[in-house]
Amino acid sequence: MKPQGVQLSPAKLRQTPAPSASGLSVARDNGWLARDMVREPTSQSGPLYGQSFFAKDLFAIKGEITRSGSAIFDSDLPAKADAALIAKARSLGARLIGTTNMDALAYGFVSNNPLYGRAKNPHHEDRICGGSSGGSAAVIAAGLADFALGSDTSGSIRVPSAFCGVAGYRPSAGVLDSAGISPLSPTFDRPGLFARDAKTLQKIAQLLAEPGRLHDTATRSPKIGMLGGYFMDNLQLVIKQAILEFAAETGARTGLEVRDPLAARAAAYILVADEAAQIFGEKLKTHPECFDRETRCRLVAAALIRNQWRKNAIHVQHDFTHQFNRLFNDFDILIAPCVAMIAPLASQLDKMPPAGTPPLRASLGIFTQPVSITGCPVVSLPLQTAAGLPTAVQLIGAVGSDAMLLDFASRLGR
Amino acid sequence: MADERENQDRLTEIARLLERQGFRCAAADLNDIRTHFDILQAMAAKIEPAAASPDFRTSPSEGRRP
Repeated sequence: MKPQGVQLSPAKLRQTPAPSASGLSVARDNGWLARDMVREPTSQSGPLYGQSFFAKDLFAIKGEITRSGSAIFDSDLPAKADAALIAKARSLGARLIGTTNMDALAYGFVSNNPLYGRAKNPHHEDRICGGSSGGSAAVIAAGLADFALGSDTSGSIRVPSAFCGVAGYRPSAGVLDSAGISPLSPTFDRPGLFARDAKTLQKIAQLLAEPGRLHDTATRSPKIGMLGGYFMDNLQLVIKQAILEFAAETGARTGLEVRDPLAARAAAYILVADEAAQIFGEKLKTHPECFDRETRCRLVAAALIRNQWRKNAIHVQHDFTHQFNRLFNDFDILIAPCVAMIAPLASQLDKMPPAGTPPLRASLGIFTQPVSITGCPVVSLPLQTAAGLPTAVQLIGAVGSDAMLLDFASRLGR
Repeated sequence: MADERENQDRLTEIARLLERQGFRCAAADLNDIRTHFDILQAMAAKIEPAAASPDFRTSPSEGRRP
């Protein structure tokens, strides 16, 4: 099936020199921009001098209110300092162009924002670009910057990486400094990166990582296993084909299975909702009108999560993590799809599903949510599908194996 | 008719629980809150049998960590 009505050509957009006024205009017109706020580099000689970047709207920028895509912070004081990653990128010579569109409070997979509108997919404007870091993925797909900062709690880098066809990185905890990032669920939130290919992603990650956290690795020929069962069932054929081709190309051993992935996904859903309800609980009580209705209702419902659900979810999280750690005794990298479908049409999202079928919106993170609760680092690598739209594969490593993952991804030349 | 009564009872119960926790919810929000709560409840139901399984470990500490 070839998608119809493609309106935007990333190849054409890449000719737009960034960060020109026309580049910003393209970003604004397509709903990728939250706010344009150019900040010059603080060094004229660093390794990133001459490069430009965008940051998701939840990174603090000195002198600006950190909005996180929501009006609930509008009465807050402006940030006293840049978020750590923004400060570091600027100190290495990079120029910040602006902040990017996202789901409100990073709680979603769509990037349809009550303040900034819907971020259009750069390959097809009627389709979504995924979320919650959708604007960051889209500006990279369109060639408007060299890299973009995002964050990933349940898949917020990996889902838009797949829908927009760019490389993404969700690190192990502590590899990238998370200071100055507005939280959703502190246990699972990770700052992360997008770049147009894995080589650029590795270079940027090495420069921005905390000292000693992305040291070289001797694993030149990692053993690769492909997660099967749940991770290869119920996905579109074009996605399955792309993942299987990638598995064959990398010599992955197929058919690995983990127990109770559905329970792990459900545990991720509950644990993130529970933490988010705690983070925003007070504001929900005192200023409920500041939240957009959808986010308010989701968060208020999460305030009703019962203690036993939380205990069970943590139990499942520990078991699932244990299973992954067992697999890492035999494999260096596990591969799995990022998403089950090509980027859906925005108009499909709110259609009532057939009885017994979960809503489309709730299905976007089914392969990323269970991986998130293990704490493992993930590089999402773009793949082309026979449908003419991109997808991405998750390269999952053991906690702390980030350098090996980025190195392997980089050597694949994607 | 019975369905309608059941639905209303459920909304009342949710409103009562929220009020007890200090939330002031607009009546217009209650149906959506209920929908999201039902999703959470369905997720909790998926976890329950797995969490009760004797196969489950309670610590993530085993396995290789580089």
